[in-house]
Amino acid sequence: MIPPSSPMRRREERDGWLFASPWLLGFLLFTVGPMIASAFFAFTEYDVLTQPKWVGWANFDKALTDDPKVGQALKVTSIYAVVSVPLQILLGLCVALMLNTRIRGLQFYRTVYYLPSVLSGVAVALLWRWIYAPNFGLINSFLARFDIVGPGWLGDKDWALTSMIGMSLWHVGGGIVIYLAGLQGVPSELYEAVRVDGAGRGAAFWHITLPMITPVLFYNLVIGIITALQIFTQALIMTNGGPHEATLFIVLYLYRNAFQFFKMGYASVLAWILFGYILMLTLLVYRSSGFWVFYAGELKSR
Amino acid sequence: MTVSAHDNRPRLPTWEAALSHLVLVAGGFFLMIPLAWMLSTSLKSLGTVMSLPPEWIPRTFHWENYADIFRLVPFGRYVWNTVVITLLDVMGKIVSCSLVAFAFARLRWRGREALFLIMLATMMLPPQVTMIPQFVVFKHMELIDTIVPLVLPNWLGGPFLTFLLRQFFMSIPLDLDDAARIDGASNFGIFWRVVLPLSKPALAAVAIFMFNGSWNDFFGPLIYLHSRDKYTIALGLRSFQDQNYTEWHLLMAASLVAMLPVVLIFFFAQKYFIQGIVFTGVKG
Amino acid sequence: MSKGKFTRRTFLQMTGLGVSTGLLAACVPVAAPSAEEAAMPEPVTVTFMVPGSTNEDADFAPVFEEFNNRYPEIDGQYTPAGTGYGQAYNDKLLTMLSGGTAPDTFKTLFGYFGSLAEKNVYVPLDDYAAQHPDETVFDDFFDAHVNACIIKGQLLALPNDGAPEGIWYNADLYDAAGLPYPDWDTTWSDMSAAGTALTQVDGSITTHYGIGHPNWLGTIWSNGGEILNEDGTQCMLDSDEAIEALEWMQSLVVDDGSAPGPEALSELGMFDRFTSGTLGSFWCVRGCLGGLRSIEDFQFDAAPLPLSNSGSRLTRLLIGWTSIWSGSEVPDEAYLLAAWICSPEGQRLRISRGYAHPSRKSLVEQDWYKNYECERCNSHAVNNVFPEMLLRGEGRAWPAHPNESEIVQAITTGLDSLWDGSKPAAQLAADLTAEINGIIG
Repeated sequence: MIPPSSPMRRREERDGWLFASPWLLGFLLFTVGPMIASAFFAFTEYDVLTQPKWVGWANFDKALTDDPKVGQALKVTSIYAVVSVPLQILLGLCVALMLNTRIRGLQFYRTVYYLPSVLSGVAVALLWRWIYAPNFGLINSFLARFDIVGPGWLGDKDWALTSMIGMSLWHVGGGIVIYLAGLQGVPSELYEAVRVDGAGRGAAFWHITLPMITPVLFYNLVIGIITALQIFTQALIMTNGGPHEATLFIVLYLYRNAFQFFKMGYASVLAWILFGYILMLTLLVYRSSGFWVFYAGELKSR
Repeated sequence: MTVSAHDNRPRLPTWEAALSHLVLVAGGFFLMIPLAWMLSTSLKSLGTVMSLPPEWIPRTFHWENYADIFRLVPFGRYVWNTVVITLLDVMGKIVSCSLVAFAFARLRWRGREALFLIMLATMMLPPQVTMIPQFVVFKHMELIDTIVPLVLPNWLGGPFLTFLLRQFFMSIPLDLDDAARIDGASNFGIFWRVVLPLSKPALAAVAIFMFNGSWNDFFGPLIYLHSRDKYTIALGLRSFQDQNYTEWHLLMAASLVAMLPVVLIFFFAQKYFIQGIVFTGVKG
Repeated sequence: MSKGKFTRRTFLQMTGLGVSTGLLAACVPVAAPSAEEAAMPEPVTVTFMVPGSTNEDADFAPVFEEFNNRYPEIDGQYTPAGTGYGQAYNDKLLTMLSGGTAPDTFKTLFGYFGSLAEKNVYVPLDDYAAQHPDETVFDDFFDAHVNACIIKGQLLALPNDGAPEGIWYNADLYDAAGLPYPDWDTTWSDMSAAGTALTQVDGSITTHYGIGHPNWLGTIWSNGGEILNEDGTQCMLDSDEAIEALEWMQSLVVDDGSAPGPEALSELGMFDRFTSGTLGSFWCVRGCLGGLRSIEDFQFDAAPLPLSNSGSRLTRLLIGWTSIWSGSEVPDEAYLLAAWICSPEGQRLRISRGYAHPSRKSLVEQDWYKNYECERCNSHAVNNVFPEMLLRGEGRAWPAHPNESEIVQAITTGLDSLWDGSKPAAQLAADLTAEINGIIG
């Protein structure tokens, strides 16, 4: 309805760059340089204190063929992401739906469910050590009431990864906030329409709520993948990769190489391998989004 | 088109409301136990902080722990520094991310798709390998030991929250823009009078995330701040880790104090993303 | 049309406002120091960085106050990194070194001294020490402490403290079991026996463990084993002596069940377990006293490390390496500060109110050290055990190696399979030797 060569369209073209300019500026000033630098380091031997030495593809060779820790790290990182991301999305959505009703005390409930996301740092480490403690911890004491002997959790190489996944669920508060905000955007009118049609709340959820919040579901999925595959701090303070490298996540391993072993070149290679991995997954999700994400205001390509 | 304050949350039958309460209380109880335990730990002395099996009620209540954290660490100073950085970050993030997200969500311009993917890609490289080069950039700008490296990037967009706002902006029907354009609105007018008012819940969410993230940020202040009178709470919390042991009682007291502002902000800010203005649909 | 202009301007104003607010807020603190005039004889600023725990802050306060009194021409600045003790300190230090903004003097933590030395981060101090004999008081350092600061014949740090490790035991638990306290003649097998006797089991739960994990470094050394050969080119962990030491460590957890395994440790670490009164003894330095003094429920004390199967004892030293950054513009002033921090008086001011271990022979003879009153210390053995081990030459620091942090990481990861019994000690020693030779090679 608007001709493509109109002044209005030209203005839109120009304003697009103008509106995006803060990010463009930040990208050019602070992001693209360091990214190129790390790509360069990937081809060097670099201890961050003396001049990098060009070694060609040697770091890639080592990472891909000669370092069993890379395989282990990619394995545990992938398992963590594959299990924790869907669980986080599902749990977050369920709680958000419950918190989006009209019952008393919601403001209080919402705060309570967001609280865990507020806590950070070393205090969290002690907290979870106590929750997972094998003998007197919160979980195993609870299980003991039913005569179940709980596992060793963080100290048990078969359960440490599970424990880390469990920890990630404690922090669904952030996801809940996004869902709650997304749920506000669903036009009430649509609900009224189905109500008139005599459909139940289940149908309303499947045909209205769910499609309308697919944009935020998409967001949580993409961000979930990116952050889960980059899990680091929790592993550093809780298990430091152990026991038996059961929680040696890839970023923890590359961090060790960069800051403990003085191998920034090798760390950069690991970082770019992870980059490729995340990019591949994200592009898959991105491409698929055309089939399942519904935008009420999507700009069709020109 | 009608835009009005409207609550679209479902009204529940009594029995369902009761069930909801039950589930929410049970879940909330589980989430609160650890915090209750933190509180209990924060009131013990170091010598009695650990016991097997754990003691819930401190033998003597060491309220002075809360005074000690202000005495042993310049905690008040740290709180003030954190407040300044956090507020600047939140302001910057809301302004810049909403502008950039508007460009990605609602304007047609060449390069939009490609740049959006590039923006997503910048999130995929672990920051551990770009940290030092970034530090060097700020060093050349002679900005080390100032809060600029912590604040300035937040005034220049940032992929996580720009992406989030883009998702919300794209959920607003385009007819609203077209209607405004026909009324003679500029792109900025659409941004300001159509998109932003309809996105209050999303903006509130962004503010809360940024507040939380900035308040708790450890690595940024760690790397960029070098003199103690500029340090933030996240750094202050680490000073209870001694060479051979950790002063858990003080750490817990300080952690509780540190999280209080974020909780309060959340408690009061949530009405914006719950009772935000909801457009009731587009007719015609 | 006018609307379009208004739009752009408003937009620019918003961005401009934001950026300038940020810059303004940030520039206020930097403006003051950079505007100094050269005409005034301003004192030279020298910075000193440490991790900066609350105790450290308090301990260093009088040291810097006195330094700035004595040297009015130098402004010595205590700069805690804001990291506490942990890996983050190394992250910050490394970033600062890499960016060229490191402090003039700083402390290096265990595992990094050899690596940083190889990368020319430190100013060699031999000439400075020769120039300032009165400030350095070189001969008063314990030999082991000074040796830990010398790499390839160069003095690259001064030790501001350096702690040998001892045994801390719960005297009440020992009394209840009718056991003699550990002392100079206690052997590994005595410790094993005591550990077993002190362990209490209730159903499937071990409520009290008799003994903590021995520190691997000291234990291997005590038995005559070595981690690396003299010139650091070969891993020696697969020697019989080292394997025997590892076997003893493993037996405590796996055979006797008297030391906590990995799962029990995930519940409560060694120090915390000891303060809870459910651990018979554990390995720690004198500095642990800072936390242990707040114990309310039982008597405790320190003892020397037990004698190994080969009849000897060697404790590892945790050195407080104080070095000058090679990029410092004021190395002379920095040396005066470093020397002061490590001087007898500088250490006394700090340690007499804290619990680190002095690196000076003269200090352990002083009253405040020898007659330290510790309310719950059983026999005050704590006041003589640590210096006595040093004077007997039973202390040693990790020999600096360019790959030391990677080697230490490999060993601590490898020990997982020692503590849970998944590898016999000999197998672990062989595997670690291969891995470490790979790192060195």
